[in-house]
Amino acid sequence: MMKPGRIAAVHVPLLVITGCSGIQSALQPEGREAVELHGLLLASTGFSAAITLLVLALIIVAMWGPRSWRHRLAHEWLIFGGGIILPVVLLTCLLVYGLVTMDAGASRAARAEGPGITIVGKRWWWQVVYTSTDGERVVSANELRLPVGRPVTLRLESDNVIHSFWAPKLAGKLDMIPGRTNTLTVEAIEPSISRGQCAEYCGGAHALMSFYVVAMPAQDFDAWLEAEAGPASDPQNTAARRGSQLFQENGCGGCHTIRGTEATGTIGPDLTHVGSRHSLAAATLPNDAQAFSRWITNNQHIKPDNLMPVYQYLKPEEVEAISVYLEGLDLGD
Amino acid sequence: MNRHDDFFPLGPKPSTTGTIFYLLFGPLLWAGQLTVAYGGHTLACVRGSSPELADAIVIVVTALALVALTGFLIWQDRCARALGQPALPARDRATDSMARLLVVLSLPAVLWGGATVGLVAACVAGR
Amino acid sequence: MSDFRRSLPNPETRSEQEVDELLRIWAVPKGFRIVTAVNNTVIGLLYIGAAFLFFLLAGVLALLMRTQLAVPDNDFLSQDLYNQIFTVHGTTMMFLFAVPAVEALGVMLLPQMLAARDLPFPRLSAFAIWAYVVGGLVFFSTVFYDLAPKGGWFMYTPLTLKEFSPGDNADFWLLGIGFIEISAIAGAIEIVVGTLRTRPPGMSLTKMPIFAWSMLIFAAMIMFAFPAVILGTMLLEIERSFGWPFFTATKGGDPLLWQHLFWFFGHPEVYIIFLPAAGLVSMIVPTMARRPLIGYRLIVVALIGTGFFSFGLWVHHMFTTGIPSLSLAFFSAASMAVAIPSGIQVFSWIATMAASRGGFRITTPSLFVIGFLVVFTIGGLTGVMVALVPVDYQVHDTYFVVAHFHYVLIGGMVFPLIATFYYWMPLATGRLLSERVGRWVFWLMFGGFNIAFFPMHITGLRGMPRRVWTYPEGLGWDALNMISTVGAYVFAAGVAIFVVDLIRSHLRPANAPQNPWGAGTLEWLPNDVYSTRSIPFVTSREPLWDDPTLPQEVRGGHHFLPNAPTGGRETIVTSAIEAKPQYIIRMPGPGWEHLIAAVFTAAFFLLLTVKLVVPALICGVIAIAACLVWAWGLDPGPSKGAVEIGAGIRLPTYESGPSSHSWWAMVVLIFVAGSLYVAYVFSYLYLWVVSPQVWAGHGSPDLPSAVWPVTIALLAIAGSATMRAAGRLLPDPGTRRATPLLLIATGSLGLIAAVALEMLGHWQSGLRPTESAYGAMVYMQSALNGQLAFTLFIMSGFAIARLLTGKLDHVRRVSFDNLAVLYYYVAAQLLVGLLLIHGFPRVAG
Repeated sequence: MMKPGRIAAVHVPLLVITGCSGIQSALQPEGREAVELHGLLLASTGFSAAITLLVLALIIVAMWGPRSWRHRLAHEWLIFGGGIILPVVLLTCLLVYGLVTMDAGASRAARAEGPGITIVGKRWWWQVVYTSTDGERVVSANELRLPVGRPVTLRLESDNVIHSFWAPKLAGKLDMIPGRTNTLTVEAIEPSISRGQCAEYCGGAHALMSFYVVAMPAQDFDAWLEAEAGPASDPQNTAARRGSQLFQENGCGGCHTIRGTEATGTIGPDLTHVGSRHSLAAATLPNDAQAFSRWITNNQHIKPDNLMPVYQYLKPEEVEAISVYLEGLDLGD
Repeated sequence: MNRHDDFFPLGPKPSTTGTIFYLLFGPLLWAGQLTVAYGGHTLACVRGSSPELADAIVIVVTALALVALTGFLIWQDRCARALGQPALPARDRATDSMARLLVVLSLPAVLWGGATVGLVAACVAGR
Repeated sequence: MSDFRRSLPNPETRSEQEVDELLRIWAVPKGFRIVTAVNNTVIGLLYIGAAFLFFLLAGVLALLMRTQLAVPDNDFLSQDLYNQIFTVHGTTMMFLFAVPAVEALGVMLLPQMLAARDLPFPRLSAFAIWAYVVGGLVFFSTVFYDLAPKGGWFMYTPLTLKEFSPGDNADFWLLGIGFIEISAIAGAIEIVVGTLRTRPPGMSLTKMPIFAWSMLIFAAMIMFAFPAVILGTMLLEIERSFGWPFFTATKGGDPLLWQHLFWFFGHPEVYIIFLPAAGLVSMIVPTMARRPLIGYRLIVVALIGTGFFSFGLWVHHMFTTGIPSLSLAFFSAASMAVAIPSGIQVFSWIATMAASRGGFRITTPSLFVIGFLVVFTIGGLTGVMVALVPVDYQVHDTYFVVAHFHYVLIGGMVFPLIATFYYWMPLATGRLLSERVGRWVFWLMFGGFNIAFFPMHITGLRGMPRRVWTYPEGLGWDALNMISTVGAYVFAAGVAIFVVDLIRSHLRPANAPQNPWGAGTLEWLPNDVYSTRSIPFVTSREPLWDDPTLPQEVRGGHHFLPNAPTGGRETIVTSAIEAKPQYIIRMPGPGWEHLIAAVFTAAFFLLLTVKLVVPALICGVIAIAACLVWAWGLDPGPSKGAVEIGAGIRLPTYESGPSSHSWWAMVVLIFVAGSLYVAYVFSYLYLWVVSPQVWAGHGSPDLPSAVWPVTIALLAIAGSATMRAAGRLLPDPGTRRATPLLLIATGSLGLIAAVALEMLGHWQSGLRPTESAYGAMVYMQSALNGQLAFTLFIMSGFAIARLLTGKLDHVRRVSFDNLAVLYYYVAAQLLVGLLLIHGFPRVAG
């Protein structure tokens, strides 16, 4: 029944880092918008709980209460009071709180700094495009890095079906719709790693379209972006060199880009620094050589319907060499 | 022997269409307000790029709807007769009461719809 | 008032032979011919049975999904199968179970509650039901051979366009929806005319039982909500089949147009399901409290208010699409407004319970009603939460929403439905279900439900999205999902025991008392296939409580229409507001025509879905032919003269013109066509707002010169004039005349010419429907008009045939009146369309 280690292995180590099981929970906000939404969420939950208890109490009194109590309830005033006046008063308060919270979004958006980040929903992964300090496009995938304390505009797009970008600890969700660009301003308020997932059903492997959000101190982020903008590191050993060669020979570069090499495909995720990311295949697998091997030979079983072919004709040692090469494509730290 | 009148006393008959409009006066106004506010502000934003115009449309249509609803409550008898209802003793009191309550119910709906412009900026996505 | 009760409409003793004749006239066909039956009690049972079967089937799918989700990283179901299953589960529950089930209750209960002999269009109901049964079963069966749709019950574009959903799977969804659209519209016509025109004499609108009110509003909502999804499904199927880019962004279409159309239907749909259920609760609560409902008029006001406000909420399914804040705010405000009517109803029921004489009786129906109150309250409150835009940013498309709408739908509809089964079973089968077993059923369902769905609120807040076939462990979802799965099985056990008891009850003799719960409304009068022996004169909202001798009076034939004066099926038509008797409607009995029409309509759509065009067309022709044969037998003419129904009242047995039931049905149909057209105009303007760059003179060829629209307008106006003239020149009974025949033919051909010219004008200007959303919209207008013009063409041929056979004259003229009123509407729609298509781009620039 179980497929051990498909996804589980990814974030068990991450759990250790974050220290709790709410890595994707809206109840543990770590972003400016998420914090503001959380307040409204708690207030409206309290409202709902209170009204539920009131109704329960009234039902109990209406059924089993003393005759005099029941007699008092059995009039139209109960309907006017409980059904009209009470909701009008309470709902007015809630609506105002809700609208004020919503309007705060506009002022958050006005504070955004820098060139922003473009995220394009793919089937079934995320293309993430940063802009380096010298204005270059820096393409990455399936992981969003953010500077803590700096409001950043995310431009959300899609060139296929509708997806929805949702990192619950950071902010509420916003859809990615073909033909439109939606903007979402996010601001991480503390360094952390959290998880997000596509929230709009996008067919096929919708369930396996997740990502990690890594919020890092602003200067670390700047340093990281500079490194990320650079070309891929050269293969460090024989196996990796062999893997690099096999990668080119088998046409992997038709779909994937590895900057600094001949691989310039744009159909699949950019792999320039794939070894530095927290997961593979949109947070479906952990990031290690073994996972690369499994993905190359068995990806349709791991993530059915994904658009990458299965490379079963490769010999095990060839697969291993490619995996070693890809795992080594990190930022050298 | 024709005993028709014992069962169905002769008298002024309410108009069928009139009764429907009389009964639905409040919700129809609410629907009109929402349609004009939503359509009008969308056009003002998309074609005119004018948040002020968008706000103004919503405020004006809300004010008009509120005037009409309050007017109905004050002059209900006159409205009733204009909409083909018989004069008072012969009129169905339950219909009167339902029409009035529906107007009362539409009041907060119209007010809430209109109050949005005071709380939310027009013509922006706001995320 | 009390004098009336003593002076009965028919005080003298009546002959028992009248009862025998009623029994003969209303007899249900025996043996296999039962499929031709049209009695509301028979087809109503078939309807509710089929709907309940779909509930069970879709419930099994739910269990499969819960099994898959019980543990993380499970592969009990494959990704592809899971996607099919959740799509079919949602679609079946919403379209094949919920709407048909409440409609079935209307068909079953309304005639009895209104003491009418049957609904006004018995064969129309039967037609709709058979089309639904055949179509629904075929749709559901696709899940067994990998042909089921997998785009979700909401079928968002562009995922459901050909590019991302090749194969016929998505077309089967559109097919399934097509059937439910047909049967819902047919049901709406039936119920609007039934509640407004076949009430018992004296039952003015404000004395109508709450369930009838809720069904009337239900039907009115269908009239305005379903057309949006009908248009949406037409656009989607046309884009899939012919590539007209309504939803393709690169050609000026917009995926969000689908969401607007779908949710303009989809949100009211929830209330379409809920209002009748609330109406049922408003019937059960007073009975169990043994006193009238407190706040009758407030409840009616709440029903009407909900009916309206529910149309102002559709965008709250689109809060996360990036629409401007202020638009969202309007819909958030309207979502608050819709909460108030629900509050009114809840407090009204509580007040009635508190007012009970001798304590509120705890029976199985009342348990389910109380369960409903609790669960629905919670669902309503989480509804308020999701209506707050910022809360929705987080919880939209998560398990929080799954929890919310199951609280609303299972709490708000399934619990009242089960209460209904227990409460009205004696009416349908003469048997009571077991109260002892009922306790088990209730506690298993209520407990299982809450165990299954309450944790989902938390699962969702912890970040679990909907529509995922699997999830990794360690995200804080594992235990919650396991609990939900256990709860789902407990709930299912409750349903299973209920089904067993349902079957078991049929092994017992039908010996339930006539009015087992001591209720006050007319459905508990002595009943037989002909409904009540005589149709009571009604002076209050609970006639059986206010007049304990009423059952004897009715059975003794002392009220109206104690016999069958025309010798066929008939009932009294009364005025819409005050319920004064107006005429006797003569209704058709059992027949094959509507059954053949239904089966071949189903076959037509099915064959079209699998692209077998020629066989499909053959079936379509057979279906239309069957409809014509069926319609030929209607419009009986005034041959029977006037008849006495009691109290010296003589009523005509034939009526044409604006007070006839068929004219009312046509007006309802015109409202449907009108809403469809309004949805079209909205779509046109919406796409213009989104993509003005593809409009005429910008990205598309200039509009044809003004000569075209002027000629077309003149054709439509002249056509209307010929129809009007034809109406005035209809021959005297028994004579023939050629002029009206020629006028009708000219008028109908003129309209077809107008539609053809409209298309030709755009074609010669170089506009193509596949090139831009603008072109697609322009030709879509002609597609809509063309379909109506085709209908009018068939109806004209029918009228001409009746003229030739002497069945249409200036007295017996219903088939012409219907043609004419529809003609005027189509001509008006065509003229408005010319203004839109030829005028708007010139004005907007």
